[in-house]
Amino acid sequence: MMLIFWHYFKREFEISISQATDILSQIGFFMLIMVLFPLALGPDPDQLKQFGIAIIWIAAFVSIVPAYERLFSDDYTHGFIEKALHNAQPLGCYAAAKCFCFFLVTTVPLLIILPVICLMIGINSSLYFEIALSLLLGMLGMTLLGGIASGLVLGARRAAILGAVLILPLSLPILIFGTMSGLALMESEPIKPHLYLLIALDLCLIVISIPAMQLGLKNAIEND
Amino acid sequence: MVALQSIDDELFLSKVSIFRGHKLIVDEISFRLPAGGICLLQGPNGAGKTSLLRVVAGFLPANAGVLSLGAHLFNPVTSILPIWYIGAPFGFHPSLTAAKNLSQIASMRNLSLPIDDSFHIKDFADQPLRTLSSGQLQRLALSQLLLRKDSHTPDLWLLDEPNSALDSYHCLVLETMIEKHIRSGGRVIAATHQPLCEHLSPEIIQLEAQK
Repeated sequence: MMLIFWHYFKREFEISISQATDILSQIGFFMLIMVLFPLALGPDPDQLKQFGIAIIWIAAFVSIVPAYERLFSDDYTHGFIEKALHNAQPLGCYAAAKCFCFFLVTTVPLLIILPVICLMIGINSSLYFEIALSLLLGMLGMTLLGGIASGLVLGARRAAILGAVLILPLSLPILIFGTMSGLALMESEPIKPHLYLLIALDLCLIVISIPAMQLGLKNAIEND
Repeated sequence: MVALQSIDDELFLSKVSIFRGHKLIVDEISFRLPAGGICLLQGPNGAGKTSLLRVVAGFLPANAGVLSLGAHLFNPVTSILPIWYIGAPFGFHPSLTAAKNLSQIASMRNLSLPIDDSFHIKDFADQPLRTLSSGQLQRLALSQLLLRKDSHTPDLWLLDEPNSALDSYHCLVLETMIEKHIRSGGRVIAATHQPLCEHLSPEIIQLEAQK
């Protein structure tokens, strides 16, 4: 099974590289939101520092949610998902590989530009590692949620909006624990409890999302 | 005692009916397909040829009727009988090259390259898929059937309009390939408007457009 997972992952990675503009535009969108907030809040460094972490999390969520719609829709329209039914492993393996690759190609660029963002809103660069870690955990959960929603709305009209409406309320726990870890960081309190909660959420989502995505994809094929 | 399922058992479709929405598309079609058999689905547009193929492939559920392999229910997705469904959309990604797409399919199904290049894939192997003509796409799709495997298993080929965009030379290649396949115990169900493998006297299933 791991071998087939790896083949699916490799395929996804090759496709993502050939469509690098998608990732770039999403990072551009994230940067834009990050620039807009200081302009709207005013240049007071203390205020920016106070809201900084929350802004990073919201910008990351808002910039990633529209991308979930194309998580499965390309493969669906090209007929890849139904052909994958006949492959050696169940569709859940395909869906998991797809989400994992999507998570990597969207989150890693985010973490790369994160030091610049921290500098921009005046967060001490020594906190970068902790912020990056909590963001990494949060985005993993978001990707799995996005996978469930994307599988569910596959083939529906206006799938992008429908998917976003499904994901955002469900993402509240991730957002809350994520920003709490950031606030704890600012107050020099221990952030481990928040990170543990994020890890627990991710683990639950891994267990739930794979069968959920498999069912969603199967349903989309049958209603094609 | 329960008889063990064998890959060479007869595939049997019994009174299969398919609805799309509220409309009856296929009405109580029955046929048998033994190992080494070929079956052509014919009929006007909208008669349900593709739907019937998709039911046998396991993409669509049959609304009534039974599919069986020997004495067992036939579940296409978990069956011991390997299935190849070749019909548009072919499942390739348009921004990758033809060779890349084919090698991905091979690795996902535990098959190996290189393949026998009867369909002359080398001519356009390094082109991105979106630049290919529909005939070239069809040749690439049919090439999947030539991927090598370690052990001999007589696959079930479900071909939806396999020769609709092929030139006459590659139509002959396709017929030769099908003949070789069924001589070695494989099975073929093809939906087509054009004549295909008439010298093998295939069983013709005539589908009617439902009112």
